[in-house]
Amino acid sequence: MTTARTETEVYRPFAGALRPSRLRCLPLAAAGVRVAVKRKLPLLLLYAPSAITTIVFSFVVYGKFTLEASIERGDAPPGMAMAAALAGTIAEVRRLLIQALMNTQVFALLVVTWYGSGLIAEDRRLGANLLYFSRPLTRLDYVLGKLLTVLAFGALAMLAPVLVICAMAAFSSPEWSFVKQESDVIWKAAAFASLWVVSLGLGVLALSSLVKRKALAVAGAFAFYMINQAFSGVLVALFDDPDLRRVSVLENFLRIGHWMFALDEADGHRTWPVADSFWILAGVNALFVAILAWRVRKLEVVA
Amino acid sequence: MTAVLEARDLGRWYGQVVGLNDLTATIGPGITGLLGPNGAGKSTFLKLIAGELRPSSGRLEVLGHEPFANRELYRRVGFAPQQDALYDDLTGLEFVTLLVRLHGYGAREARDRARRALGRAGLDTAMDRRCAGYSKGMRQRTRLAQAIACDPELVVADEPLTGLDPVGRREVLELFRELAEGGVHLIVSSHVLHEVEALTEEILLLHRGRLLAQGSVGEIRDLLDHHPRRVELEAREPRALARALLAFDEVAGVTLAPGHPDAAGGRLIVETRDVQAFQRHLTATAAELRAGVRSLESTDASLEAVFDYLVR
Repeated sequence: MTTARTETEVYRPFAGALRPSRLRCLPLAAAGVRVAVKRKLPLLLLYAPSAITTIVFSFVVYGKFTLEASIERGDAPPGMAMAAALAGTIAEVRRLLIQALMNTQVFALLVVTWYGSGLIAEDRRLGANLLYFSRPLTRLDYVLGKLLTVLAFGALAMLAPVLVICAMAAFSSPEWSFVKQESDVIWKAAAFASLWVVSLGLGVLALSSLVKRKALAVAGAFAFYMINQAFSGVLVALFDDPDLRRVSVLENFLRIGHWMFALDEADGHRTWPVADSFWILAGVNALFVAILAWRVRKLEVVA
Repeated sequence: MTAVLEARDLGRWYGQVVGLNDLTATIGPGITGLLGPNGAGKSTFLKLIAGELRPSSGRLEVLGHEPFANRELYRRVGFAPQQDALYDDLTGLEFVTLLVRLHGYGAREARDRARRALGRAGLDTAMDRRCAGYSKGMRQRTRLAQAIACDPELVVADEPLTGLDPVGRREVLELFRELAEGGVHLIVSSHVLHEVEALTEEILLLHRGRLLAQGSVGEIRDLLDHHPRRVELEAREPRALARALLAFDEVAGVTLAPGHPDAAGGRLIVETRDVQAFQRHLTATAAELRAGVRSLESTDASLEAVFDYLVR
């Protein structure tokens, strides 16, 4: 073998205008959204239920307030009766809003699973991570970019309907009475939707990082939530202890939802302390984050 | 002031599988070919250079820095992997723009750079089409475009000629030459030996995770003393010439082979331990015998022959 030569060279200085921004995850998230919306049919099918729910509930809310106003004009009831009728309407609208929120939970599950499942799995299959990680992109940026993509879709499926219905209620109610009296339900609904979407997003990404095919990740995500739910049902039946519903992730979300919106627990299904649900969900999400950290770290090994 | 790349006792293994073992090499400026059969460790070495993999042992410096997780260095190195890596639903322009944006460029500048790079890679007319409709060669060019879009100092390309038609290969090789003339250093792995040979003299030969040889093809061939050099010649009187040549010490063997059908005489394949001495003796002997030597060529100084000798 020839003797290795050590060449000398003055390297060209780096030329170009780099932005100092550390938010490298944003272009990645934007690209994720752009890739997903290229296919119109899944977009249409997955968002149709959310859109229909939004439209129906918005009309119902609008109708409640306008109907109330027309009755008030026709019968000209005294002031006290008017106030009582309005309070009843607002309570009814609040109930509708929570119902809409709970309904869109399922749609968000579908949307997040569909759009999130391929994000890491397909990168691994294609080897796109090789292109990402040969750039000044940290693994945290990578995960955040993927998570933001999922959150964008999840928020559109769950948060957007709630906010639209809230806006409809706010504009339809006389003198902004809905906002004045029920402002808590707006932020609580937003908080609950965010919690649900973030947790789902982390779970789906964690599953996506474990496989190399989107289909497997989709199946895995549904299997996780369904088996989890079924298992809790079996435990409840076996031990005749309704508190064992805590084993199910979905039941814990319901428990938190019922607690946040002060819903009646007369059926006695979810009577365990709400703090337990928070701890359980924190644990599950920590597990998802740990899986993500482990798998994304492992992305360096591509045979 | 340093070499483009310095590896010392570099190793990388995947569990029990050795990807690269004890590699010590220095790569200078310009174009360097990285050659080896499948499983030789070429891709592992390139991923180590691109900072994708952490070395299991030894030390590697690229442009004077350790590459793994070195984000400052990532700005200076362009990597075109062998894997497909493209998003089918994006256009070539959108895809390269995304990757350029990850370097920190603004949207407009990233788009301009992506457009220029795709143009240089020969995708002027196809860059606005979805990658799903790209041929294998176009996908290869897109990967190259993303590697050069940020004006790197070093381009690392893993099998960049795979999937390209002859015209495409010529164009890509031309692009590599242009880049090298512009001061960019290139490390190119390939199975296509003669094309790497046409591109550069400087090569690294890997086999089963180890470095077999480094240097120019000619230099490496000269070092293979245990393999006599093979020289082919056509002569009008091959038998008489063969008999005379066998008398010389440096001639290890002579084989007679049929010559060109249109020409009288035949062909001789001579194995010699000393080409210069052989050429001196051949000139005198051929003149003395009036053997009518028409052509003379060294058939095993090619990269392919050297490669065969080394890995056999």
